[in-house]
Amino acid sequence: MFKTIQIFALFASVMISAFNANAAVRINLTDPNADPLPTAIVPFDGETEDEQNVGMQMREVIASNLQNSGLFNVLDPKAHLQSRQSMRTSGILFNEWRLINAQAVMTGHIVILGMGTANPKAQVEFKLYDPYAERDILAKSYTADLRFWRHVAHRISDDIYTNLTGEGGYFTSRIVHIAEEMQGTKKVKKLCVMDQDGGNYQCLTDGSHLVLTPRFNPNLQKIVYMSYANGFPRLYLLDLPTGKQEIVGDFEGLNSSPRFSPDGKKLVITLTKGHAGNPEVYSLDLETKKLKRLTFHRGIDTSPSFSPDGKKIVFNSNRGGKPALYVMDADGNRVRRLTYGQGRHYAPVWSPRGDLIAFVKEYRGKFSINVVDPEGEETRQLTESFLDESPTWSPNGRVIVFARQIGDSTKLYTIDLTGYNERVLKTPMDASDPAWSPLLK
Amino acid sequence: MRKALLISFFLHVFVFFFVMMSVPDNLFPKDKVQTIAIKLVAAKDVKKTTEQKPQKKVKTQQSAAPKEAPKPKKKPQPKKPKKKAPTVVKDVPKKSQKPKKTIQAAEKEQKKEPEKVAEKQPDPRPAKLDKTEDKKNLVQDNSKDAVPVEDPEDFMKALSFIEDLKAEQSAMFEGEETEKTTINVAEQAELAVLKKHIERNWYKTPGTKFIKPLMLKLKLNRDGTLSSMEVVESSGSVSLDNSLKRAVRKAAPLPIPSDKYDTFKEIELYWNG
Repeated sequence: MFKTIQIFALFASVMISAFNANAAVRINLTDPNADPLPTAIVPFDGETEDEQNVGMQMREVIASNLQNSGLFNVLDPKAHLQSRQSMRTSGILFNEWRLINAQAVMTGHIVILGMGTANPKAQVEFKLYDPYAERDILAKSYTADLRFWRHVAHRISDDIYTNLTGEGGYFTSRIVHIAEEMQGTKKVKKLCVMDQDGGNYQCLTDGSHLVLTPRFNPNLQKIVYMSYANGFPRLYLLDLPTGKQEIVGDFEGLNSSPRFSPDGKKLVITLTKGHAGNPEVYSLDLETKKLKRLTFHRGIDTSPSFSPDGKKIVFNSNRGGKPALYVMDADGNRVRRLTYGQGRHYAPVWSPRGDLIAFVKEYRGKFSINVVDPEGEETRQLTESFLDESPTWSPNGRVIVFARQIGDSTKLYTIDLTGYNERVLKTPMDASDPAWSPLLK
Repeated sequence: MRKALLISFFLHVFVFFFVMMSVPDNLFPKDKVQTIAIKLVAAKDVKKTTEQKPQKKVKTQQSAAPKEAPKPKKKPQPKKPKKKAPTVVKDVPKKSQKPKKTIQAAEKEQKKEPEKVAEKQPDPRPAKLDKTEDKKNLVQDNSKDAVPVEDPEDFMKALSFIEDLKAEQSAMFEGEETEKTTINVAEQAELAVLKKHIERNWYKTPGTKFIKPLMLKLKLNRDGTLSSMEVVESSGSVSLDNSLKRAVRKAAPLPIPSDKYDTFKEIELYWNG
């Protein structure tokens, strides 16, 4: 009998709570705080001095990655209230981090195995905490050769970035570009590559031949580029890890502006082959080496770029009178014009995220980087100078790197797709024609 | 005998809950669901909407009238001097002490109202300060809420403006069941303060791809601290959900008026890109 009363009481309480369920006021949030997220990155702790030094350096790499993204405000370690000693004895004290308004706190630990041997390894573990929920939201560990500590730091940066923003990261990636160097009185162009933050800089060619338009395979660390090695322009494919090089295109006429398909199996290129010097867009199967012509128009068609789903291609054409952007299906059908409006539009690049296409606009003697949605409804200008060119997207489609010429010197710049956070990307030499790699595995 | 007792007990319980659930509107007018749609509009726009649509005033008046019906004679009271209070006592002999309090409370509120909004913005935690007063208000809650505190004409004007917003909002969220009732100007301002307070604490990554709307439901304690929080509709991004949760925790205790706990005890936060 007692049981039945219990059941009845339960039923009644459920009914009452159901009755009250709608008694809530609603607030429509419209205007969140767009300031960078205050984040604390604590130096990695270690037992020995060596470990602590590496831990400090890794902290610097992570902090500068996050800070430069423009989405994080990395708090100065001097402002951290909780000391390393206190962290060791009593663990993280959330209250101390809330006091300095840290929305997330990273702490970590590093152990170096086999110090003094030829191949020491670093064992790094870290945790990301939410001081308001008072719990960890991410915990991971990496083991790698000590010499790759920068790589590990980039990986951790990506982990933190992804967890807090919900977007894929882009820090574990490289940027290939054309570096210009004065050798005596002659200006030479080399193909060089570096980490996205400018670290691990190295050049892949010696500058004896002219090199142009390097482009990354969207899945692998492979680059396609043009070289005038024997006086003729040819397309080369370079495998970065092995340094192996092969010729993929040796066609009659100019071959320029190559770009990979999203699956990396095809290239789209511009050729003047066999139609009286008129550039047309072709696709080239890298396995069968078969060419397929995609555009048929007496206007100039060039600079093709695949959409990330591989179904569409955006390209540049002057068939409407002045250079503008056009979109067609991957097989060349259903061409439609994408951009109208002022100025001439060049060099489209489809974002890996798929929602935007970056391009260069020339108007009244000024060049700017712009983005447009794939329907062509809304165009947004991100930069402006006398010569901004060659935009390329970060692997997560958040940041654009481009080349800006000021006077005689050309430098690489980055900008966020919201149009904020323009920064110079420091390179030892003048740099142009950048291409961003996919995330390193 | 025992069986009959048991049946009688259950019947009583049943009747009790039946009454509780099916006729609450008449018994407890206070418990009415209040959904407050809030939208910030520039001051000049507000004037326009109220001036352009005078016929709406009448509508609102009609809909608002029955709610205040149980205590119709109190309306003019706040304007009268205190001494006249005893005359009211005759009308409501059982609650002889309450009317006085109501007047005082009304006067209190009248004084408070204009200050509240101004005060609250700089101070993120005003709710705590009111703690002692809170308990007194608890007792008076029922009578107090029904007392209109503003000049009736202004009040109606404001209501007609809200009516417009409501129409707009209900068009946005069709098929939603929550009953819409009118709110007063003070509550609207308090809600705006609350909105600002949460938004200021919400670090949202700008420029992320919008997937779907996010709805978070909060239950608050009387002092504005958080009793519970649940994601009713996820935005499709755990990071975004977490960022709003973090904002609420950071914003707590929320600046809710201590005397209107029943209105603000449950809050839905909605983000639509």
